[in-house]
Amino acid sequence: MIRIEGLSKSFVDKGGAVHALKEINLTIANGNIYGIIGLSGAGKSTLIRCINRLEEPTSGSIYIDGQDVTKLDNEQLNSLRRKIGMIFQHFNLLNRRSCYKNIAFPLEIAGYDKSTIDKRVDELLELVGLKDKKYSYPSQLSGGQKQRVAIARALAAKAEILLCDEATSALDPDTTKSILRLLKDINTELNITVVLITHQMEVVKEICNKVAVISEGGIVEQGNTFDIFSKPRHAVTKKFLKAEGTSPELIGIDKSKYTKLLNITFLEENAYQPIISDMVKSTNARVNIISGHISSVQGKPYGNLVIDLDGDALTIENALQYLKNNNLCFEEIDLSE
Amino acid sequence: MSELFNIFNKLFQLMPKPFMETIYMVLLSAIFSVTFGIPLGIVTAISEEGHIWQHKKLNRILNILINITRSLPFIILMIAVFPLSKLIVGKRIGTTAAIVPLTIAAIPFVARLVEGSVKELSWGIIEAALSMGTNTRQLVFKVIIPEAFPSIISGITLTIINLISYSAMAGAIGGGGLGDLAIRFGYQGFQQDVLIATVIVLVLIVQLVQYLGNTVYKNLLR
Repeated sequence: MIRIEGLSKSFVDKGGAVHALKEINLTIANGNIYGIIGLSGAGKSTLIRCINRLEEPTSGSIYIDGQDVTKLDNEQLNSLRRKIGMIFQHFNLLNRRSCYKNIAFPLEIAGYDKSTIDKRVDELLELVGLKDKKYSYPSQLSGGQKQRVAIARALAAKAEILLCDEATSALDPDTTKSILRLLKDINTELNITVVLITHQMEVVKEICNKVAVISEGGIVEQGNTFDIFSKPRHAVTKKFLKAEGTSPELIGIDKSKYTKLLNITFLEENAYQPIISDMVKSTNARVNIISGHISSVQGKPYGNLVIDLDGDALTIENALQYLKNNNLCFEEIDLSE
Repeated sequence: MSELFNIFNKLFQLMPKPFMETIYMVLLSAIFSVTFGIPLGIVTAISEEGHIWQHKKLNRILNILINITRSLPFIILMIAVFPLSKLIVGKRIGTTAAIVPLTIAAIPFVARLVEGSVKELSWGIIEAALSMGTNTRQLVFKVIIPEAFPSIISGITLTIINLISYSAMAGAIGGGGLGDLAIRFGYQGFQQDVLIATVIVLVLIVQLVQYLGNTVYKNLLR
């Protein structure tokens, strides 16, 4: 388990002090795939680097299995780091070493003997599906293959935690999917806790069971991925959904023509009932459908519908009450915006 | 025809000894300067602020030392280290004695090139190695040196070529070698054919060194 308590990090820059992280509190249970999503400059990269102390935190504590990482000396830190694998956006393979030698690297520095290394590297090449590339050099590999080697290398010394720093940001959509699938497999089969930071919504939606949204050095929302994305509360979370096109984008629509715009979210429990139709029948409100779509988080679907309610004030009041009584989540869209 | 034969005959008699002297001076000073220059360059690079072995004071001292040695004109340096040459090889002038100033001039040169090679490594690679629990010694010997090696080879090639031209200068004050031949026989002795032949040989040596250096470099990059 990773427990982050009151973690802060500030730099002194030319322009003065920069507070990259402000009092972060976060708990990541074993076996999770925990996504930390944020725009560039939000502090997510600093946060993940604090976990294995590639960045030194200014204050706060990070406990990994009860041990405070911030209090370790160099030697203890190095042995802890062997249990925490890390992969990067630009793969960072050793260019002058073959795949085999790259994967063997963490084992070499941990002092394993040759035959153990040989056996382990073969296992890992099998795991990431690159047996035929054993003696290839990084320059002969595609981006996806490089990341697979990097994953094998990160796990070589029996890591229990895998930190992913924008691991799919330099890859095309198909390759991203295959790398995410690999990460998911590693998580379920080897029970490795995965912490990943990203600015890509689809990464989090695809594999993370938990997510934290980070903005300006602070965590603004955290919880189950499905809950966070189906019912976004914070502006940054909504921005992400908007950027991905799964949030109602009403640009170009003359809002003055509407009376009461609602954004309704249908979750599983009410996705199968004709609630809108029932509402119309029982309240006589008129409904104009503006837009709608369905998206999914880790295979769980949820729908969004934007409607306009028309009628006199009492009718609208009744309609809203009806929706509330049926446990539908909705929010009013501000017409003045 | 017989005149041409005479020229070649003369060159074959004159050339071999200074040629071997040049090779001897350049080779030994290259070996020594690389031996001392590589560690110096690495330490200078990694002791810099924010690198893996930050030592600000040491870094400043090394930088000053390298800059001073590099800013001295070679001809002055040569004379200035006479006492040191005497101490090390027992002589102040001569081919062997010239190795001392050549080495001293080349060490900071190698150091700067190696420092550059180390610093141009992507920080990501070093960070990745750190994340695996690599200590400083392992980082230097298993990551930095092997990864920077092709670039260091380029630097060594450049150093050898510089040493060839410096060795010609050393020749002028009693170091022997091809430079000495060109000056004494060619320039002062009005034997233009010797002068031209020496220059051609020097050009050929430089070409050969550069070619070998490039070949090794290319083979190292994959």
